Amino acid sequence: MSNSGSVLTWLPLISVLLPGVIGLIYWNARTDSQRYVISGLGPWIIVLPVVAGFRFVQGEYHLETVLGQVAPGIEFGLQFDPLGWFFTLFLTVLFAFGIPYCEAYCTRIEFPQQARIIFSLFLIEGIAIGIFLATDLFSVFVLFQILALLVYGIVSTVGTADARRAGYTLLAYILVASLFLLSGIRLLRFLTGSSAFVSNGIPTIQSAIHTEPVLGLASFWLLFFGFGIAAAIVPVHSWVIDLLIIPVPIAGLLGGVVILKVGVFGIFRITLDIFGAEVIDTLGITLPVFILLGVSMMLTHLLAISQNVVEYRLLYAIIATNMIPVLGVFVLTPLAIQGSLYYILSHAVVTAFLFIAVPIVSGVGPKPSQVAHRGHDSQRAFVFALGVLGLAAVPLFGTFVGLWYLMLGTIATHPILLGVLIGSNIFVIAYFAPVIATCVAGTNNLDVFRAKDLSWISEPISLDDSLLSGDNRLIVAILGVFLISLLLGIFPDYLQTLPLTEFVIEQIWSGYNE
Amino acid sequence: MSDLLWIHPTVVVLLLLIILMGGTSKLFYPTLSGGLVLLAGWIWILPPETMEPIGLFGFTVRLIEVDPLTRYFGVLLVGITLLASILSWQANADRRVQFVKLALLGVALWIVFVGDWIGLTIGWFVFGVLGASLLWIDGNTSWQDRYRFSLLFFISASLLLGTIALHSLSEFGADPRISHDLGALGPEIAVYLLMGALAISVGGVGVHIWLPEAFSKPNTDTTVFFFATLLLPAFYVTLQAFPKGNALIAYYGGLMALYGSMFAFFQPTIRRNLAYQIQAHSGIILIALGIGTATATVGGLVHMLTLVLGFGLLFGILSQLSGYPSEIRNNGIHSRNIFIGFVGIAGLILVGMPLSVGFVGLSTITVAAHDAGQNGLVGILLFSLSILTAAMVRVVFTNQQESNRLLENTVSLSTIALLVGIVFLAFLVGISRSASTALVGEPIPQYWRIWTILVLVLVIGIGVVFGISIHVSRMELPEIFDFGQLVLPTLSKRLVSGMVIAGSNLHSLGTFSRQCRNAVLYDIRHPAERIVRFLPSTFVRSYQQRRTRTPGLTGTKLTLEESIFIFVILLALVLLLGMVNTW
Repeated sequence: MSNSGSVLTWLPLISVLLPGVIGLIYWNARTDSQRYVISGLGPWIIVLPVVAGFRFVQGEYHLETVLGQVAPGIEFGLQFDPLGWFFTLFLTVLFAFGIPYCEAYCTRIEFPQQARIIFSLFLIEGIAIGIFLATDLFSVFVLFQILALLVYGIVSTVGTADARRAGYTLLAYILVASLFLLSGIRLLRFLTGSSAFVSNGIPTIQSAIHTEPVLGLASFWLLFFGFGIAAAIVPVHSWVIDLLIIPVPIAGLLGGVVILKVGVFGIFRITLDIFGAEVIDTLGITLPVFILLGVSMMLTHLLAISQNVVEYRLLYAIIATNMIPVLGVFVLTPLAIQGSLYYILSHAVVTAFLFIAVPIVSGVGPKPSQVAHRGHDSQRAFVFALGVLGLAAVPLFGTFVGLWYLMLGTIATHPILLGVLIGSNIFVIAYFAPVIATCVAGTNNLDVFRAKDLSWISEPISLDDSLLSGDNRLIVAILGVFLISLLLGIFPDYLQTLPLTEFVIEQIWSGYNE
Repeated sequence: MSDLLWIHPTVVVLLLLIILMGGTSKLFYPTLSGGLVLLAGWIWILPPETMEPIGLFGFTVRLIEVDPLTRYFGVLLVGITLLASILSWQANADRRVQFVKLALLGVALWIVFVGDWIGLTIGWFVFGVLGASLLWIDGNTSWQDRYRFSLLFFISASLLLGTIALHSLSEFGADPRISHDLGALGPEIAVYLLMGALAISVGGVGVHIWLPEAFSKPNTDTTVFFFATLLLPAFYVTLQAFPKGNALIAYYGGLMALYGSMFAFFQPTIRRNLAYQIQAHSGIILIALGIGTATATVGGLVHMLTLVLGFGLLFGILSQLSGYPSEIRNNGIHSRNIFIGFVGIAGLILVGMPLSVGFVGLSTITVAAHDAGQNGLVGILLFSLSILTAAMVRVVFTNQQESNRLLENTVSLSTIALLVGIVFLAFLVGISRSASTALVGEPIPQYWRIWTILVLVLVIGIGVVFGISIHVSRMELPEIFDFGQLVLPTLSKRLVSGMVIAGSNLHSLGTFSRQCRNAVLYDIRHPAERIVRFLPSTFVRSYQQRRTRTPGLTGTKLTLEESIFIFVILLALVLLLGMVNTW
C-alpha cells in the first residue's frame, strides 16, 4: 500500500477537502450570479481529482494519504482503493448534476435557507467522499457521525414542528447506529487488534474467530445492524421517510443517494475488507441474513403499496431495492458481488434521476392540486416511467446489468434468491404502473399526487405549467443523469465501468483464493 | 461474415424513424410506406449468415443471425406494418402512434433477428414496454387495461430472464461472457418458466386477461399491427426453444383454440369476437408448433401467414366503419355489401377453405397431427374450426347498431383495391405451391389428402349451418329475409336463403324434433333457468344472491350463465377427447 512520495499522495485528501473549500466560496459569494457560476462549475471541479486517480486505482500501488493517529492505535488515512474510489466517482458525478439542480429548485420554490442548504450539500459531499476513501473502520464511524449532524442541520433549517420531530428521529436512529458501530469496532479491535480495511479481511481475524466465535459473531452483527440502520433496512427505516420534510430532490439526494449508499458501502466494507468472504462463510451468517433481508424486502414492498403519496411510495421502493445488493454481497461468489457493486452504483443513478424527476410528477408547490394536473400529463408520466423502469431493472438501464450478474452469481448456490430478485422487480412495476397510468389519464384515482404539507412556505407560489420551462439547470440535470443510467446499461464495457467492477472483485478474490 | 449484416433491420427501422421525425408532414405516410417496402426488400435479400458475437450491454451478444425462418418472420412483421400504415394513411391517423409502432416493429425485428438468448431477453423487456406505450398513446383503452398489459408483460419478460439464467447455469456454468446461442433451453424448471412467459405473451387461457381489451379497444389500424407484432415474436421464440415440439404446448394450444373459439362465438360485439378468434388461431398455431414434426412446423408457419392475411383483411374492412369518425365518401361502393363480401372471404380463408392459404396451413397441421398419432388434437382442431366458422357467421350477421353504421358508410375504391390485393395473395399462396415455398422458405410437404378436403369442407359447412341456425333462432324471421333481399347478390341470396329456411324449418321433422329443438334453443337462450333447475335446493339461494350482486356480467363480459355454459361444454369436450386419445 505504500507509494512514492510525490504530490499525488495528497490526491485523496484533496478530493475530500475540495468540496468544503468550494462550499465556503459559495457561502461567501455576494451575488446570485456568482452563486450560479460556483454551484454550476464547482461540483465538476470536485470530480477532477477523483478522475485523476483513475490510473492509480488500476496501477501497481494505491494512493494513500496518511494523516497520523486519531486515537491510540488508530491511524487516520485516506486512499484510492478500487471499491472506495468507485463509489466516490459516482457520488461526485451525481452531485455535479445534483447541486446545480438543487440550487435551481430552491430558487424556484423560493426556499428561505437556500445558501445554507447548498453549502451543507457541499460539506456532505466532502464527508461522504471521506467515508468512501477512509482506510479504517473507526474513521468511517467518526465521519458518519459528522454526516448525520450535517443532515440534521439541513432538516432543522425548515424549522417547523414536523421538521424538528424528523430531526430528532434522525438523531435517535443515528445514535443507536453509532452505539452498535462503536461496540462492534471495540469488539473487533479486542479480537484482532486492528480495524483497518484489508482486501479480503483482516489477516488475524480467522484465528481470532476460531478462538472466540461468540464474540466474533457479536461483532459482526453489531456492525451489520449499525450500517443496516444507515441502509434503512425495515423496520429501522423511519428516519429516511421523515427526511421528506425537506424539499423532495434534496431529501432524495441525501437519503437515497448518500446515506442509503453509505449504509450499503459499510456492509460491503465489513463483509469484504474486515471479515472477508471466507470468515463470513465459516461464521454461518448468510442464511439468517438472507431471511432477514428477504422478509424485510417484501415488507417494504407491502408498505410501499399502502402509501398513497407518490414520494413516499417511491422512497419505500428505493429502500426495498436498495437491499438487493446487500443480499447479493452475502452470496459470496465473485459474480454476485460484482453484480451487487454494479447494481448499487446504477441504483444510485436511478435514485437520483427519480428524485429530480419526481417534482415534475407531483408538482412542486404547496398547493399541488393546482399544479399537478395542469397539462403535460404525458410528459410527466414519460419521465417518471423511465425512472421506474430503471428501478425495476429493465434492460438498457445499468441496474439490469448488475441484476444479471447478481443472478448468475446467485443461481448456482441459492436458486431461491432468483425468485426474490425477480419478484421484487415485479412488485415495483405492479405498484408504479397505476401511478404512471393515472398520470397519463389525468385522473386522480389513487390519490397519488396528494403531496405532503409543506407549511414552511408561507405564500402560495404561482407556477408555470411545467417545471422544466423555468431553469435550464433542471433539464440538464434530468437529461444528464438519465443518460448516465442508460450508458451504464448499454455500453458498460466501453465506459470501463464493468471492467472496473471486475477488477475490484479480482483483487478481493485473488486474496481469497490464496 | 458479410459486412452487409451490420445494416441490421432494426437499424433500418431506426433510420426510417429519424427520417420521419425530420421530414415534412405532407410526405409522412408516403415515406413511411415506401420505407417499409424497402425494409421488406432488404430483409428478403439479407445474406443467410451469422454475425460473430460482440460485447454489448455488458454481455456477449450475437447481433444478427439470418436464415429462412428469421427472414420469413421479418417479412411477415414488415408486411403487416405496411398494411397497418396504409390503413392509418387512409384514416390520416395520429402520427405519434406511427412512431411508437415503428419502434415496436424495430424491437420485434430485433427479437427475431438477434442470434442469442440474452439479446432476445433484452428485446423482450423493451418489447413489453413499447407495447404498453402503444396502448397508452393510442388512447382508446382504459388505464386498467394498460396496467394489466404492462404488468403481465413485465412478468413474462422476468420469467424469460429467469429461464435464461437457469439455462446459463446448466450449460455454461453461469459465465456471463459466453454467447448463449439460440436453441433448446436447459433444465426442466427453466422450460416451465419459459412456457409461462410464452403463455402470457400469446394470451393463453388463464393469463389472457390483457387480451380482449388490448385487441378490441384500440383503433383498427393499431390493432391489426399490434396483434401480429405481439404474437409473431412469441411464436418465433416457441420455435427456437422447442424445435422438437412439446406435448404440453400442443394441448395447451388445443385448450386455447377451444376456449377462444367459444368465447368468440358468444361475444356481443364484432371487435371482441375477433379478439377471441385471434386467441383461438394462436392456439391452433401452438398445436402445430407443439407437435413439432417438420410437417407440423411448416403448417404452423403457413397458418401464421393465414392469420396475418385473414385478419389484415378483416381489420382492413373494419377500419372503414369503426375506429375513426366515419366520412361519407362519394365515389365508393355501398359498404354493407363490401363488408359482408370481405368478411365472408376472410372467414373462409381463416378456417381453411380449399384453394386458399388457410387450407394449406390447416390441412398440413391436420395431416401432421394425424401422422403423429394425435387424433385428440385433430378432433380439437376440427371442432374449434367449426365454432370459429359459426363465430364468423355471427360477425356477418352483425347486430343492429353496427349494421346501421354500415349502411351509412361507403368504402373507397383504393381500400377495395388493397383488400382485393390481400385476397389475391391469399389465394395465390393457396394455389401455387412454388409461391408458398418461396415465401415460407421451406419446401411445403404433401399437405393435403382427399380426406382433409372433405373433412374441412364438412367442418366449415357444419359451422355455417350452426351459426346461421343459432342466429335465426334468436331473430324474427321476416327481418332475416329482409336482410337477405337487401344485401346479398341474387345467386348467393338464394343459396343463403335456402340455408336460412333449412335452419329455421327444422320443426317440419315432426313434433318430437320440434320439441327437442325448442327445448335446446330455450336452454341456449335462458341457460339460467336450466342451471337453476339442476341446482340442489340448498345452492339456489346463494346462486340468486350472486346473480343480484353481479347483474348480468362476469369478468369476461358474458353473462354468468353463458360462462357456466361454456365451461361445462369445455369440460365435457376435454373429457371426451381424453377418452378418444386413450382409446
